[in-house]
Amino acid sequence: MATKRKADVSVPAEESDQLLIRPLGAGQEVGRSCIILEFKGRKIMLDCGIHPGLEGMDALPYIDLIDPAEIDLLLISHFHLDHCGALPWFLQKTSFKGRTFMTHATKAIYRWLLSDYVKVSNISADDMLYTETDLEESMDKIETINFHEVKEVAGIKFWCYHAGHVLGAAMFMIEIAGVKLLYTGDFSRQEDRHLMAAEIPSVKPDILITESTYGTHIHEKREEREARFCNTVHDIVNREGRCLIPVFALGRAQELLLILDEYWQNHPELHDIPIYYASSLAKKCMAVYQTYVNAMNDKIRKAININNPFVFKHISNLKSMDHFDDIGPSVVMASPGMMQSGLSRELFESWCTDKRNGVIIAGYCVEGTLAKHIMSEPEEITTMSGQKLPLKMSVDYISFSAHTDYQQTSEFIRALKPPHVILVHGEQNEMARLKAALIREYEDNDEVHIEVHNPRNTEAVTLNFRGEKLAKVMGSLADKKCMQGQRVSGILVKKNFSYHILAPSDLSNYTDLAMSTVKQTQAIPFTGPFPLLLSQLRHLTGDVEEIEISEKSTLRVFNSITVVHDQNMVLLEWFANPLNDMYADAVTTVVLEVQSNPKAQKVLQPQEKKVDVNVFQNRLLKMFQDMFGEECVDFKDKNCLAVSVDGKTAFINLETRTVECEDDNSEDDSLREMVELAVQRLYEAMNPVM
Amino acid sequence: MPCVHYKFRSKLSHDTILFEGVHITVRELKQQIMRRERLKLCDLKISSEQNNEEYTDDEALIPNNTSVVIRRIPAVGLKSTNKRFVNNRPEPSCGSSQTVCRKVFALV
Repeated sequence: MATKRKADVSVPAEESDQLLIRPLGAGQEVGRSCIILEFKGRKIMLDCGIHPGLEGMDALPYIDLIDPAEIDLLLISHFHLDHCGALPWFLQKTSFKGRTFMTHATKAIYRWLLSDYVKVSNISADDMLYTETDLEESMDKIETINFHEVKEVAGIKFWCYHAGHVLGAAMFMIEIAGVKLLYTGDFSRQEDRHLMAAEIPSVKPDILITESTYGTHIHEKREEREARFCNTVHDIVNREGRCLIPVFALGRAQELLLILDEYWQNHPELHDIPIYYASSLAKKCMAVYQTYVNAMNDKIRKAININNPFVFKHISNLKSMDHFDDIGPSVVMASPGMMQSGLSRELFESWCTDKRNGVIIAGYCVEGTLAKHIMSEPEEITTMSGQKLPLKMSVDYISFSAHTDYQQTSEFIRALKPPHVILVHGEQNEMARLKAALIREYEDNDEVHIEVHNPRNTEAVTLNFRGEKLAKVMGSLADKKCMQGQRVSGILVKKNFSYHILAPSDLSNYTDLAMSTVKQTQAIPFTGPFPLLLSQLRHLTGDVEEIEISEKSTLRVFNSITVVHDQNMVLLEWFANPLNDMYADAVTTVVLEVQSNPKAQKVLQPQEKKVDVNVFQNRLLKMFQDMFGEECVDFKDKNCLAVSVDGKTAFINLETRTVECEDDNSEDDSLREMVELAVQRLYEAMNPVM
Repeated sequence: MPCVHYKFRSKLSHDTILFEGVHITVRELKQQIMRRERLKLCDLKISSEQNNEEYTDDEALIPNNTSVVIRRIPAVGLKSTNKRFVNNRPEPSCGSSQTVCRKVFALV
């Protein structure tokens, strides 16, 4: 882990079949979700949260185990702190230069939720991981994506589904080289008043990374839970107590507000008891909620047209403690949800000693927070200033945190049947129980094999995916129907993870590539006589043509090299390809040889290619006159020479150099043979082999 | 004043730790860095900035003016969750039984 992880095999990362999943946070814990996915040389980070129960750098995921500059893509599932709380730090204070995506609603709410968090954190400025300025500056680096919109970055295809849970929460499906992975973030398969249930993707993933917050628990029915909640609130205000509901300004608070507003509407006796929604950002937050109605369920969308349900009749905004007159029973919803600091903590500390009061914990509480602590019913609590106070107020836990429970998770997995399931975002024991239950569910199933993993922080899960490589033949190569065993040849074009085979001429039709030719020119200093060069080239090959180009002596050698004689040099030109290059080399060598051989330059004798016929005839005549006497040899006609010896005559055809006898006397062929031999010998002597 | 320059692998900036004497041991350096950065629940891996070699021996000496790269890793031996508050939860049952109760108790 200290050095960069180099693959032991010599396979480059892009071709390797190894897929790595490593949680840097939320591995066997809840908080600081941050999961690294590595495949085919691509690195993706899923979520970047902080741990709400820890402070300072301790709250960060173990980012030191990766190099932020190598991360290509960062996907944020939703706006809860434990999924995006470290994003401003990651974007502004590390070397990360990849792209970040989240849904529109998530981005809008992220801005204000984290702003609220920065304000209410009571740690000193030194300890703060980032400031409001960092948060503002990070906004430009974040890109948005719509639900079901497919985007592609660096060869990674991804899109998202509704996850329920909170407004804008998404489950991301990622596809690299045909391998699909679904990251659920936090999700719920139960619809509530304003959010839809998580969708079941139509595409089945090979790997599922899922939350396991509630492990093997089963939630109580929605109606029962709502009834219990309303009854508890009613009881508390009936006994003249104050009811505190700590929640973050945005998220489940809106669901609770809808529930309370409806309950108050139905109970006129409660109309005098105020409900406060306390957050300095309340107005801004509600405006955001009203904007992103498209991310909510159909019921609410229809209701918005008639009568905006988010305009509450019985709930008022409370900006701070100063605006609050604490007389008589009331219901206050204040942030933060786990009471680490801020208004909910202040109110808690001022109300906890009175047994008429009550606090309702309405969401999941992380280890190490006050909310989690009071669920164990301690005798006393420690205030922010260190003072100890007895805990007399009632504490109820009614979870509206909209996480999946065992029934929903197993139904989800049954619908998708992913071969690999990775559990994150759950306490160690809960997660272990869930893993065991899932394994048990499929252990007798012969058709479906599901491997369940629950890695600890920084521990990697390595999976192997052998992909099939498919190359599509396109263009003119695809014109004819092909048969098994037929050879196809063309150019293999690879774009990200798709392969095509094309004929070179089709390249410009289907790609940005084009065929081009390269023309080469070579100038060689040459001061010798050009005819000498010509003759030497003719020694090299018969394929030498003389052509005329603008008054300069030009040759065309091998039908591809153009040789131009210029002032003191020779210019070679040809279209580059392996064969022509070789010819050019040969011609260049000849030129250089002629140039460097001073003796050859002086010799200017051009050789006669053909023997002059007249000369040959005269010589022939002379030869036979010498052999047989002058009176025996005579020209019969232009092409025929007659040689008469002892009454026999041989006719020599000068063109073909064949000899025939007058009498077709087969007995005495000796004259004919002798004459023929003599003619051949003379001809060869005069016309030497080249 | 002799010093060691350190940088967390994920961060961009260097910081300096001052110390007395000629060298500082790896153990002391870790403690000082954890104190300075207010880290309580993790462990540190220290490597040399030049050649990326890790200082595995806690008693090894780091000379003056060295630059090192720090990696935060989960604490060995400690559970990854914070145990600041005591948890008395009865074991919830798994399977289909419901866990409904008015008063507080464990994780529902």
